[in-house]
Amino acid sequence: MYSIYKYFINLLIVGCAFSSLYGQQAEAVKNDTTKHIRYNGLRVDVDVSPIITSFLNKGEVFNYEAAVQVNLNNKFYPVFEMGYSGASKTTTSDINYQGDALFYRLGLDFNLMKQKESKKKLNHVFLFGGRLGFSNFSYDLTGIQYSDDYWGAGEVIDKKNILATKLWFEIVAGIRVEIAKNIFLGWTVRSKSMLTKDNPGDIKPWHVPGYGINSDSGVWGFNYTLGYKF
Amino acid sequence: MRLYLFLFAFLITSVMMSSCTRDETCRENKDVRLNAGFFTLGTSNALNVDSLKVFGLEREDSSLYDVNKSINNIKLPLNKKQDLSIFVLNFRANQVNDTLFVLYTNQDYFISYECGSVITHKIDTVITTEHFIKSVKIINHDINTTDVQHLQIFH
Repeated sequence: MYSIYKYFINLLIVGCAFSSLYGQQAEAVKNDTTKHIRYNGLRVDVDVSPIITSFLNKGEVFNYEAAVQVNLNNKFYPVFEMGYSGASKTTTSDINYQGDALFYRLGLDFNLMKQKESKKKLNHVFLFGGRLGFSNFSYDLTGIQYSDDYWGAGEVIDKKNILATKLWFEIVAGIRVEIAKNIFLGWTVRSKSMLTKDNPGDIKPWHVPGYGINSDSGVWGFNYTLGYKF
Repeated sequence: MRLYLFLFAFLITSVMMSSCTRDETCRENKDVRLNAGFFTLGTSNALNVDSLKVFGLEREDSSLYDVNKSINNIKLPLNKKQDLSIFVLNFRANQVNDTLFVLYTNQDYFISYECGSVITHKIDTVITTEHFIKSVKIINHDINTTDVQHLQIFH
């Protein structure tokens, strides 16, 4: 896990370096035919998957997000994703969970599909990359039951405004298909692993904004996106 | 072709999403009890006690154990709102009572959203009267959902 994390950090550094160098090198590119960072536009994607997922998860979880992705050389795609997500759930132990917050992801994708630049056709890309996700949020638990059949000392308590900061890593794959000039449809599948772990016995959040249902074994995520390239 | 590719992938991931259901059944042990074993004094030999009745002080109407057979181990629930639980052990075969005082601290322990929370205990001191019982020894201070012995009662 640590090696993946380190690899991803390296990717991010390279991505950031490319982005920052672009401003300085853009002028030079015009007079230089050797390989340089070449800005090929910026695409804004909006996740439209809540139209489907809101039916699947019975309204217990909601997630709205959008992304800004830069195309460099048709090969590197630094991306910033931001969204708002939350959950309202009564668990099988009758605990009511309530929490929502903003979340952020930063990452880099590689286009694994060769581009035929000579043909000015509509473009599509197959992206593979990583994300580092972050969310700082609070959540409420009500109806925590402590049973005591013998001494009669059972009680039901509430714990409100529990603060949490979560950091997670995602391996991401997806496609973007240009269905009309500058308009893209796409999907993204994500394998997510939590980096900040909870101590045994601590009340961990049932849901982490941007990550999903908080599972020790990692979770999968899906997005269907509608995008526009500027 | 591009649209077909997109739709195919859309279909596959939709099927994957709809098949991802969480198991919300509690499969963890939630029983938190003081586990005490009877032993012969000066040895590590388990002692079978015949005909035993155990109840909390002032809870005689509600026995934890009321058995006429041999028993060498008892599990006692501690009061989750107090830091002292008192148990009366009635050794009927010997016609004597002993009183066991258990002092401890309580702590919340969250198991999972499927199972909820329990109160765990950390034993501080155990004191006993010495009629049938000759001495007690704490061998494990932490009382939680792990099924281990915490106390040895010697006769």
